[in-house]
Amino acid sequence: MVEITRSFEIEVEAIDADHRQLVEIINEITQAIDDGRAGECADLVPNFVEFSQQHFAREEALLTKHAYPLAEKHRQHHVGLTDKMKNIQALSERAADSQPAADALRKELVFILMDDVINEDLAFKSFLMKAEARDTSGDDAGS
Amino acid sequence: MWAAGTLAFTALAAVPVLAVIYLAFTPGENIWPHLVSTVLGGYVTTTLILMLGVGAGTLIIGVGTAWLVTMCRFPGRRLFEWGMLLPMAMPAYIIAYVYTDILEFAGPLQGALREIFGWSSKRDYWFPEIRSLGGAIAMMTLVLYPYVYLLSRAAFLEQSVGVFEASRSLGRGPWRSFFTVALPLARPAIIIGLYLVLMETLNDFGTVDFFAVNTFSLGIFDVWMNMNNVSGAAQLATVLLVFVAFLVIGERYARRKQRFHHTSTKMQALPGFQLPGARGILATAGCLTPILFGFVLPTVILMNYAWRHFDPELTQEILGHALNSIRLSVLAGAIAVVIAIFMAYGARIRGSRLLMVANRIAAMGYAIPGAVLAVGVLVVLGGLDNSIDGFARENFGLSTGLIFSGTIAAVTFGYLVRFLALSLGTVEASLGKVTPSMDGASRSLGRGAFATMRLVHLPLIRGSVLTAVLLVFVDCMKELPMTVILRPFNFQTLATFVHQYASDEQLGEAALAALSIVGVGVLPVILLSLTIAKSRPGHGAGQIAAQIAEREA
Amino acid sequence: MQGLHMVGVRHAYGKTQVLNDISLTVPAGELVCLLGPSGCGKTTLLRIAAGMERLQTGSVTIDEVIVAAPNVQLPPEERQIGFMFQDYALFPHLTVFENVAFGLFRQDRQTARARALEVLEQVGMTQHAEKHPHLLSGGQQQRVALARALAPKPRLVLLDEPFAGLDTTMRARVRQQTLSVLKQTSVATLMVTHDPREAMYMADRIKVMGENGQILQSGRPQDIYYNPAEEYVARLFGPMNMIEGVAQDGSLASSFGPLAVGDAGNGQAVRVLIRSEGLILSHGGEQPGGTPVDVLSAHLLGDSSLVGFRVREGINSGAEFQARIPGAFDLTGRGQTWAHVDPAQVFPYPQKQ
Ligand SMILES: Nc1ncnc2c1ncn2[C@@H]1O[C@H](COP(=O)(O)OP(=O)(O)O)[C@@H](O)[C@H]1O
Ligand SMILES: [Fe+2]
Ligand SMILES: [Fe+2]
Ligand SMILES: [Mg+2]
Repeated sequence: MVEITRSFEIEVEAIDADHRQLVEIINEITQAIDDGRAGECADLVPNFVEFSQQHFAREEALLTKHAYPLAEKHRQHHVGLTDKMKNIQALSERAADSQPAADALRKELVFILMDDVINEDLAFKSFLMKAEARDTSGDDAGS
Repeated sequence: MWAAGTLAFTALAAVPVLAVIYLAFTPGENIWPHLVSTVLGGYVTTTLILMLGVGAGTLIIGVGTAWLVTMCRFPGRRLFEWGMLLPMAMPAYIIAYVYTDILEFAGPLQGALREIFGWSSKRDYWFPEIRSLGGAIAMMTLVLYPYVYLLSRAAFLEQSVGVFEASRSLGRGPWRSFFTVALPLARPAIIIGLYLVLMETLNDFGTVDFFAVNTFSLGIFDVWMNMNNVSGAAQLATVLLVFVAFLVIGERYARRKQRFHHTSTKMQALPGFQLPGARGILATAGCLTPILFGFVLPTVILMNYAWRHFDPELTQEILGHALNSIRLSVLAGAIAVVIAIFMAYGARIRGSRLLMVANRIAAMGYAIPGAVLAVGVLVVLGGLDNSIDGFARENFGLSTGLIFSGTIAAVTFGYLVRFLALSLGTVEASLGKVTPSMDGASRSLGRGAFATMRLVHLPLIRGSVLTAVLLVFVDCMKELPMTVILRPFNFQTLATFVHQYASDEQLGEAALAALSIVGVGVLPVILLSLTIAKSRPGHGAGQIAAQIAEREA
Repeated sequence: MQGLHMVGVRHAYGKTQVLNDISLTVPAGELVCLLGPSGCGKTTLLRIAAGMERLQTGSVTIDEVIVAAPNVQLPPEERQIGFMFQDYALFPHLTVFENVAFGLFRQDRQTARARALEVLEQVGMTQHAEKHPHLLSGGQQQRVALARALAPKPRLVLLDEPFAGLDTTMRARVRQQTLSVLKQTSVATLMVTHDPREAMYMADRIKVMGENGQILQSGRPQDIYYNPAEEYVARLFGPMNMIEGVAQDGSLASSFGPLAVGDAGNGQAVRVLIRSEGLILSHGGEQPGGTPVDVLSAHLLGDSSLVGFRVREGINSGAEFQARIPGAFDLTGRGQTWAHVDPAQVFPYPQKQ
């Protein structure tokens, strides 16, 4: 079971919620593999890929909105994940009849989510937290 | 905890010197102008001449024999490799007593000469006066040259033989190659050796006292004991500290340069120029002479005296003094090592600059002449006693008197300040050889800092810990100036006993005690010899040099 | 999540910045390998994870416990890690058994003894239990060090260049044994090495570090090998053939035909790297997509050969290349030699203007 623990939190609710959603999808997939229902992977993995893309878009918008200096670099990083997404999709189609493929898929999903997606986001954690806090207090003052 | 402990030890070690300096600048009764107009000039000149003479003498003997022993082949060379160290065992004051006894007017040599030539009085002939500045230079040179020998030998061994051979193949003869290549390369190490020699020269009290050669050490005693003037003594001590500071700076400078002087450390058999016939004999004689006069002859004479003057009652008394010496020295050795382990290990695991600097400062005591430290310790403990006494009088209406002054504790404190460097250097050097991953391995396996020290470091450095205890022990056994000043009333050690009897021209009675001191002094010589025996070119000799150098750092 | 999580770790020795914002995750049971050149800060990173070096910036979490953060610094003895040092750091005054049992002091003697023997058995060193380390070969010392690190059942294992001290023949076997022991233990493992092939063999995920102390690329060994994100990463695995030119319509013209250049725009300078195994040689008549070449040299390396050749025709006429082909190269083969390119081994890098 994968889980978003404290050290993986960005502490910006919109993003953490997305990340938790991604974790849920992945736990569903790994559960399926562990229960010998690897056939379901072919349907579930596209969900993950699709939701990732939506999340990337939302995240990039937020970074741009707050004028994060390295926003473009982070966008490039998201684009750079395309090949890995293709790879897990290919693996998911083979997972039903190849245990090694299923194992590789399971492993790779966790790494992509935790190391490639969330870890990289932690780079803008403090920037975004401050920016959001400023906005909120600014809103309060205005209202 | 490590930081607090280390800083406390460092402060304790620095306090006596600081007290001396403070006192010098806030004199109760200012005799400074008086000192300047009367004795100061004499002290400065005498001390400088003494340093110059001893420096030149030890350089010639030390470097010369080191070169012969490392680079040439001649009869007895293997023996001389370690034999050259023997005079280290001999405190300068002891050979001073021995040679005076032999060479003075009433002594056997002059007596025999008078007999043979029929002279009857001093006027009839000329004979060098042993109790003179020249005599002091000779005595100290004879026992101090091994420092220069040891360091130069290590430096010559570490030099790539290739460099020397390259010079020769380029057409320079062996002599020119020696002066243009080997000597300059060895210069930093030689300077460190020379520094040790000069430190010991400044520290000497027994010889100059006996010969009445007015150096600073003697001056400090004189002003302190005879003129009963603490501030004056402190002022002289401070001037002496300036000499020391110059030496320390010079040595630092040499050491910095030394880093760039290491040539290749390839293991290579030394060439070993065969010295044929007469030249070989000459080399043998050249090496034999300092050993003979610096160690063998005085030892034989002392043995002879001890035999002739043997007296069961006196021996009983000497045994008591020996026990005093041993107790004190073991105590100081043990405490010094415990403190050294604490400080060295603390600096290691904290890795902080502050602690490393603190350790260097704590080790500075070795450079401070015993007379200066003795004054400092007395002043500090006296001040402490007075304030405790004052406090007790005021609050409890009773006098505590002197608690620390003139006690074993005072002597031990003095020893510790002066000799902590020996144990610290030894422990640091051997801890340095334990790779840091050992610490990491033990810590990551769940053991804390203390358990790691107990289970990993102490077993690994056990040998060096014993060496450290031994080094401090031996130097305490030989120590004279601090012991004389700081000891409790009527308390004798071997060294003070020898000093007292020999000063009264009763060397015969003191011979057994003197021999005991020499016997103890031989121990570290044996230790060094073993290291030398194990050393190979470019290998172990460097460690000896490092260890000796470390003692001073 | 169980395992190791390092976030935003930076480290400087004095003014020299060594680690530059390193983040990584090692889930329990996985082996992550940090691959980078000597001196890039790999050992430093491991020492920070272990608590032997003080963390300066960032955080380290092991099994959801924060062990190092700007205001937290758990000493190594409280982190429950197993550290295998580059020099093994076996205690020379203790026997193999005592070394392995060193970390088992919290258990009673019986249990500790059983556990130590169990791990020794696992690494196949039981018969050497009473020996002192200096009597062992390099490979045996390595196994004892591994056993010692694993004995207290750590939450995390850190391996610093675990095979660097071994000779090549021994290395393959020890590597395989180590991997199998680690996988049986299913503990989170972070290993560092400068040897790309070692990283490929051992790792579930490789993180490539550059000399500037930054992570350049993360991924499975396949990703690193077949999709090197940067020229530096591509060159890790050995010398590369290089063709430079200007992109036109998404490709670069070459004697080997057009080479795909990814998203380089028209007129942009590109450098294309081709692995030596990406150049394929054949004999005989005209081959579609191939170009005729003159063979200059052939060196048999064992299971493969390095063949140097010069291109005869086209844009790259006269340029020299190196191909790695399976087995020995037949210099007596008749007819023209042809070379063509395996597109999977071609890596285009658009150049900054
Ligand atoms: N204790 C230290 N003090 C100063 N510099 C250090 C220290 N330890 C390592 N370095 C320097 O930091 C850099 C990285 O070292 P290290 O982590 O050992 O690299 P690697 O293990 O990748 O070879 C090197 O340039 C090294 O010289
Ligand atoms: Fe994200
Ligand atoms: Fe992101
Ligand atoms: Mg390293």
